[in-house]
Amino acid sequence: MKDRTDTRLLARLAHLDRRWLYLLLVVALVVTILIEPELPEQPSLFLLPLYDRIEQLPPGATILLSVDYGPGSEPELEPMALAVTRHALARGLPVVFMSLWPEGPSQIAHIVEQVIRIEFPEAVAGQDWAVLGYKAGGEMLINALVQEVAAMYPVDAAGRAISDLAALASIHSLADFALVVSFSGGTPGLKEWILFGGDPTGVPTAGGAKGVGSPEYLAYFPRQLLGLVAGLKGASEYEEALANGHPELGSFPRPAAAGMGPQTVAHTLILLFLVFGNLDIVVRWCRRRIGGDQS
Amino acid sequence: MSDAGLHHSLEVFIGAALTLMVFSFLYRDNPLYKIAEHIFVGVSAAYWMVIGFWTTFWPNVVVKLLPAAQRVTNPDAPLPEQDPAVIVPLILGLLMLCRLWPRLAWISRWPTAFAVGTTVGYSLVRYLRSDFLNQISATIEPGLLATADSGALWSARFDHILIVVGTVCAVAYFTFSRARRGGLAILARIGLVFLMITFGASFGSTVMGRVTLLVGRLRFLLGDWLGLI
Amino acid sequence: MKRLIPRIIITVVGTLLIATSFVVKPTAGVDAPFVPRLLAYADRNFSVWFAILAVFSFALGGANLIKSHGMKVAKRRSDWPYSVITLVSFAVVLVIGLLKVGGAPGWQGAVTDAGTAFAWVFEAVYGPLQATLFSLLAFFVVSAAYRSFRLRSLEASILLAAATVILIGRTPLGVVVGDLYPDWLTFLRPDVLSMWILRVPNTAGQRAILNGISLGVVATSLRLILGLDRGGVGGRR
Repeated sequence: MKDRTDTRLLARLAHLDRRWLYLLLVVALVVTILIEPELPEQPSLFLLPLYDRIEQLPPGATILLSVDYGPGSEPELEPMALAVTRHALARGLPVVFMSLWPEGPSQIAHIVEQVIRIEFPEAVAGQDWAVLGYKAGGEMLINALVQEVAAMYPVDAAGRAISDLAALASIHSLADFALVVSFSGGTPGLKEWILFGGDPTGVPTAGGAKGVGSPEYLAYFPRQLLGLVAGLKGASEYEEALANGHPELGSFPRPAAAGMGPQTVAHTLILLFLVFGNLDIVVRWCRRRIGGDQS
Repeated sequence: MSDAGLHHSLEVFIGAALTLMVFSFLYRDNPLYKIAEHIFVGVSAAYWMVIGFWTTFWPNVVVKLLPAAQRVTNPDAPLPEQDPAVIVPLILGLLMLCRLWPRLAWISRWPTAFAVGTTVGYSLVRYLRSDFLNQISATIEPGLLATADSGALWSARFDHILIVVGTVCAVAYFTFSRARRGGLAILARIGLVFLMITFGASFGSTVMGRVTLLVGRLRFLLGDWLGLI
Repeated sequence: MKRLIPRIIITVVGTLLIATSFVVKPTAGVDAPFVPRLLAYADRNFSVWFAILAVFSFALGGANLIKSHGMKVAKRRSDWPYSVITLVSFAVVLVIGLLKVGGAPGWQGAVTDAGTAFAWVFEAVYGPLQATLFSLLAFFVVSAAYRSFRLRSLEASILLAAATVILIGRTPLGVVVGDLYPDWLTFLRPDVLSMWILRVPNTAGQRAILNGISLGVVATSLRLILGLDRGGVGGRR
């Protein structure tokens, strides 16, 4: 009798309307977002080489930041783009923004608004930072930059000749950048930067990646990929490393750290769903084992 | 309220309304979701066209052919040199548009062939170098014995051996040109275990990413729209 | 003719670009033989031409959208009012973008500059729609976790075990849970184990996959260059 009740309960659980699961997820996330718990963080070995490289570059070394994502990846990639931009400017390294994605210019505008205009108002456009913007072509755009930056970017996003920009004064081709960092929402993105930019020229290439792509990029680490900021967790770790390494920055906004609470709750919930989804198999397996033991 | 403030409030309100319209799909397919979906299709196609026009077509085609056009977007800019060679991709591009007329569609294969030729010409070398040769050398280096002198821990050496074994076995799993018997079958079986762990890591990372996107939208609704955070 | 010319273009362009990787480029200003100069010209310009060509593919996409949705409206096919919405959204954004409505005087400045109507559409419409459509995947992952991921075999169990370690280890939960472990079990802490999985078995698996794909790319490229594969440009026989 009890067996039959168990089976019926499991069958009902297995056919639970998916909308209840959705509701449970939303409620759990909303509550955690409102509570905003603070959780411990520790920088991982994949991003430290990138952090250290930015720490060690001599002042004036220009970094190319390729903002290769759109709104669909913004929650994952923008926090790390903000953190890396903040880090470079805090070290006095000029940053040059470009994008392989059409949505890039608007995403670059977010970074400029949130970090440069608010935290580094003294930074001079064209000298401490420059925006080349988007060009079509994906990996072929990278190829063109390997030859000559001006071949595709005769002017910056605002229409100024790049020869007039101090930030690009020492830059003729991609190899002249001290570091290339691609915040990659997919294709074209970090993989294309490694294959068509980093490997052919030897320019140090690092990246920030969405959770979806990061395991694949790790195959290139550390020889072809200097460092990787992987997903929101990676961004949160970068924020932590930056806060510890640059106390002079004060308490800057940490969107990734704020997201880790809800992230943790959602992971726990999904793990519970995995367990419940397999409960019937586990129960059957246990019964077989117990039945076998008895016989 | 200032004009900028009003624009921002309207922006957030429309953003929130569209967000909820898309989320309504989770209950069931409905006209609100379909409206949002169709707006997205129209807006994104136009967005790409506009961005392509102003960021690439204008500065890299129009201005290169007619340098005076530079002054349209920046009256103070010096005039660049003319580059007549740009006429080639311009003609190829116009030929590509022939695809819109079924009787002329065959002409669009020429620019497509140029694009395919360029892609394969570069990809062959780049993939062979980065994803084949460099991956093999990265797996072999640092040498298994060399790490002892450089003071590496035994655990690092063990990890390195595992990477070599795992890579070889997983490649064996992808070997379909020979019957999987004997030693190859054992290697392939071990390779499958490594691949399953790889897929598990990818699945776990994917879940992480998807959750982050949802948290992003909820933060927008709770913060920007409702002002609760 | 219709089949032959595209195949010749692929072969010539592909061969030229492969050759550029193996020939020393002539120094600027120095008189060089024809072939190295030709290769240098191809290497320097073909990528730029490709990028320009890509813009026409955006235009082609837009034109196709007008064609397909326009037909749907004209013939009053099912759900045609939704196609009207698509066409109107397309036209509005195209006009305000191409005319740079609301920005600096005339056509000055970037179309995405703050203050342009185009930038406003991005923030109010395009951004929220794309972000929300992508975020729906979180719900489908939850549903899949509950209904589809079953411990039916040893392989599936290994996959799920690895995923579980990543899910716990790649959040601060991994550190919290790990702190409960005794020192001699440090290597099994979820935060440590998840990094090990990513660094060791994942790297091995990914490298094997990359190796396989790269050989596939090389083989397909060679087939296209040698004319053994039509790559969608050779037409039907």
